[in-house]
Amino acid sequence: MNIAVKQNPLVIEGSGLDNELLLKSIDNTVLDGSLDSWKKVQVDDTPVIRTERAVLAAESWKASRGEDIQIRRARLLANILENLTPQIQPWQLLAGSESQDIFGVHPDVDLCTTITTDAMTSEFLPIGSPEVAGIISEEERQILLQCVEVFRGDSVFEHVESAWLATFGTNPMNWVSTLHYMGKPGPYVRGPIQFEKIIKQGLRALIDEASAKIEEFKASSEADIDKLYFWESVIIVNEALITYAHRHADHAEALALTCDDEQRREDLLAMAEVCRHVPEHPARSMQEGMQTAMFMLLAVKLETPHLPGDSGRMDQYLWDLYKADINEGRLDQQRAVNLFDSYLAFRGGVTSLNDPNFIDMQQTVTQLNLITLGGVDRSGNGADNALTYLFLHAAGLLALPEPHLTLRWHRQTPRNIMRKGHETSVLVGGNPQFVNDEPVLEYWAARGVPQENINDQSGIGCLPPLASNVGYIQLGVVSQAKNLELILHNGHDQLFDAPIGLQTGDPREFETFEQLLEAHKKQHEFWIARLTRMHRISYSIENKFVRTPFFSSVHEDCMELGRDLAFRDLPHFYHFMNDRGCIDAADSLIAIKRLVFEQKLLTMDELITALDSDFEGKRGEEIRQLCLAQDKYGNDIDEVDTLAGALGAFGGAAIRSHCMPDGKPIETDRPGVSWHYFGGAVTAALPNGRKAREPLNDATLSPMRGQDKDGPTTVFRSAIKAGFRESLYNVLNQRISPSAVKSAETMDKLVGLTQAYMENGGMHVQYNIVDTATMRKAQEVPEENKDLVVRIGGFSAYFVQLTREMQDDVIMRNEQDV
Amino acid sequence: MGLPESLLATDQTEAHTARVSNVQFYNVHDGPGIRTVVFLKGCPLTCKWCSNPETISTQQELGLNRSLCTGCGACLDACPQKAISLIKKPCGRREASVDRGLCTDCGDCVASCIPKALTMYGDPMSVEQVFKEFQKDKMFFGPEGGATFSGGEALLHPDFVAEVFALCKADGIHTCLETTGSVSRRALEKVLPVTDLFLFDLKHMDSEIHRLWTGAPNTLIHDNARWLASQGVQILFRVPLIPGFNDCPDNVQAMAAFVGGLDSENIDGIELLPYHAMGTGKYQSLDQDYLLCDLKVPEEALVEALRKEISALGVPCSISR
Repeated sequence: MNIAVKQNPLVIEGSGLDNELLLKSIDNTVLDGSLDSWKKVQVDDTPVIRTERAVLAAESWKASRGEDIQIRRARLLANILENLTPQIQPWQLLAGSESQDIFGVHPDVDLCTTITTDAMTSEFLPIGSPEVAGIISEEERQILLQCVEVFRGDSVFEHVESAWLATFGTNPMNWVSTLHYMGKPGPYVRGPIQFEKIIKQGLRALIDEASAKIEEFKASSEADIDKLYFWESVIIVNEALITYAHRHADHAEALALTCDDEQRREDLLAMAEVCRHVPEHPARSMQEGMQTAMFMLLAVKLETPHLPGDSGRMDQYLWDLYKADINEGRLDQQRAVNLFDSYLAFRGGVTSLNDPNFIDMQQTVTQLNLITLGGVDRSGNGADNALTYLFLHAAGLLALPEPHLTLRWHRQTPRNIMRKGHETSVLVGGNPQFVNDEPVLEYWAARGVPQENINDQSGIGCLPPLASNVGYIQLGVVSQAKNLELILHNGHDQLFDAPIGLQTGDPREFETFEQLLEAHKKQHEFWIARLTRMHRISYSIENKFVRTPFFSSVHEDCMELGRDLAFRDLPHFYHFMNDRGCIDAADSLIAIKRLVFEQKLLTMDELITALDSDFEGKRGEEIRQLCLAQDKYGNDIDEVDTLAGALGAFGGAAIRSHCMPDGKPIETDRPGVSWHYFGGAVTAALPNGRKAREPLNDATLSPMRGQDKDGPTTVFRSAIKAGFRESLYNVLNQRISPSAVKSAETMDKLVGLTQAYMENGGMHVQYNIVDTATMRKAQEVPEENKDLVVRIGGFSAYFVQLTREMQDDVIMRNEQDV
Repeated sequence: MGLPESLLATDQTEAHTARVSNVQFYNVHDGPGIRTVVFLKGCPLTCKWCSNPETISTQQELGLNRSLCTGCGACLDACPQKAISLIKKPCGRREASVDRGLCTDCGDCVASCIPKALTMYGDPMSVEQVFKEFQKDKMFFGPEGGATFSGGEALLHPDFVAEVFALCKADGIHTCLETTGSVSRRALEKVLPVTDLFLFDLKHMDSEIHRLWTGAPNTLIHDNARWLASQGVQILFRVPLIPGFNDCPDNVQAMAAFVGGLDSENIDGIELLPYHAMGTGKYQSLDQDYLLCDLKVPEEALVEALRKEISALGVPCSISR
């Protein structure tokens, strides 16, 4: 792919500041005092579960009975936006918060009735890891349970589960060790949000667009009534969002009346003026642009509380407004930093209620909201700007584990942006992650997505970068690691003692390595087919029970076509399967190949016996050492690296051989999350030397923990060789010793390393630059190390909030010292 | 000259192989940019603070990394000298122990050790093998990085170094040589045409103190420094800053005067390498005593003061971090 991009200098035309002066003026900004105090308070804060949204949702649901689902869902959101108490927290420069709390949680009673019931009836109220539970009063608990009853029978989750039960005769939850469908089926549809359009045009223009569409529909011979309902729903939710903003204006004015602090009073009055104007009208300043984005994200979160709210490319959307503000003297760099930190702090506070059965999965209280920075503009010209730099700086000042930041890398990314990105990464535990534009570009171009949409791509939570017009859903995870356990036991699950898999034969009778590999492939195909079937069933059910009118109204294509995203059949809608455990599988297969088939140091029976005893017993440890000593991915050893690549390619092809009812093939991606921890918890001992229930290899291209012996360049060589280009997204975590970035010179070398990795085809890298001693100390004295942020896999988290096992996992990943 | 004849001779191994103790990728401290450093065995000096004790002897040596040992005992039978036994640690764990009086460093035990606790420092590698190691990270070197030979004293193998560097130059890889300077003129002449940058160690300006701490006087080193400077090649002088040995103002000033007085435009100045105790584990793996175990790492403020002092004398000075 030929990418002709022009370098975009970081100057603000007309400001009279040269590059150096400009960056210096940004570097000199500091963390705002009230945000600093907020930051210290929030690390100690306990999530509070709130009932206000649930009550408003239930009230609307009862009143709208009998109407079309599209309209019912719109009225539900409208009722919330028109009545939810407006919130402006004392540290905020931008108005709006889901609740009065730092971590306020709105359970999605309307979408996931069973999860809410499970959560409300369990002792432990799961928000993130078991280390972080929510609190709720007994009275409110009862209120929530009553609200759930209003939606009983109408929630998508229940219907999908019964359909699966009817089809398979068993609850697929029983297969959860091999498949993992993220805990809750339901509206998991994701896609970039059209912030830029709304910031520039305002919601009034969007409403007018919908009205025009309705008139057009009425005048035509069109009979698809869903379209009419869709545009009507757009008007309902967006009028309500304008009202919501105006209610915040009233609230800000009321607060100003009783405010003694003169500066704060001014801020509140300014906020009121902003909320009267946006998001209804085009934004006139950077603050108004950010406020528009905040209201849009609030609407997304109040519509579907369990979904993250991603901010797209804020440095692009706000660039013209920022430039005008600076040039006209309305804004200085410190104020700009304060505004952005206020925005980050708002995003950092949002969280949701988890399935109590899946607490181990997420390991974080936050929601994996993402902001994408840098990259190229729609025409392909380098678009990194001073705001990219400023946002990185502001994120470094606040140093929150969330929101997550992606810095897009392209051939013309300015060195000072990369440098700033790496400096921020040290301060904010692996934030930003670096994502290469080129593989993303190639991937979407091969699927016929228009170039300008690809150039305008942004990341979605911990998930892959999506072209701006793409709709996305992830079916769930298939585990090549669990497959190994199954084929070594003829389809029998060792941890759950159940015959859940395909019977691929007694491995003791395999005469060649090829037979073993064949069994692995068959087992993998079996699970891919099963997950596909589950997804096709839920696909046929979900749009009957759920719609997302607001989210759809700000997603490209939906407005034009009059189609809610929940139908999942827009021209650029894609279904993805997360194909995981390839590295564990490759290392395990190589170990069997060497020990059993080539060197014949063990018989298959001896190996399986050792695995079944979890490497205990007479020869257990000896055999585990033998397993560990075999070649491992991540050391630039051709055979194992290419086998990992081949397993990846096989997984990708097997997934792509399945289609959705509209004929579109299912696609492969490999985002990180902390799935390796969850996937490991349900997988028995493996021939790579990993014991039962221990985490699998983290991310998707990281080596087995502690097994990469030759430093980051060697890991990168292995990763490039493995390729994984069949997958839209692959994640590589790399721990680097702080001593390797102690000076300006060595920091520059790390920048050079990332740069070289990307230039040679690396797709993604994120660094954990924390030494072992610091993490051990945090384990010993957690109360003094509450703000230590580390990278997990596609997201960062406060170290002390992780489970002990997860903490040890991060520590055991090799620290690449120099 | 003060050095035994044997060390001033040419290669101890055949020209086409050398004993390599370690290949280090993504080295960011020994030369500009991202580098691959190959450590060759054998050193004419015996500096008390040495952080690479496994590189001092020219012969291969057995290392035992105790933290990896599982106490399985497989090495006991593999040793023809019966030099290995299992000892019981106070915690109850069993661990291999090597009787260095009996051990001949033959390496027969290494293959028997599955967790790779037993390793052999100094496997012979050919010119082609080492060149291939250097090539591996070519994609990461960028315009600045490249290949570095270190040791020990890599110039105990001048023909080998020259051959590898010639291949590197032909392949467009930047070459850098770290040397004690305590080597024959012939060795320097040999590598001069294929070396882009010399990292030249200076330890002390007083020859007697130098001898007490390193086992050799400094006269040859200083002669070589002057000669190398006169050849116009790029040189960065590096000073391992050892508290109580060479960190006094008199010595530091004398070093600055020496470097400042060299007649060359291609002197990059002085880089200070503050003492660290990272090599302690390697002494344990070789069952050797570390003589400086009480030595403290110099304080950053002190190092910075010395840097300023050298800079004030007109010699560019940086600190390796």
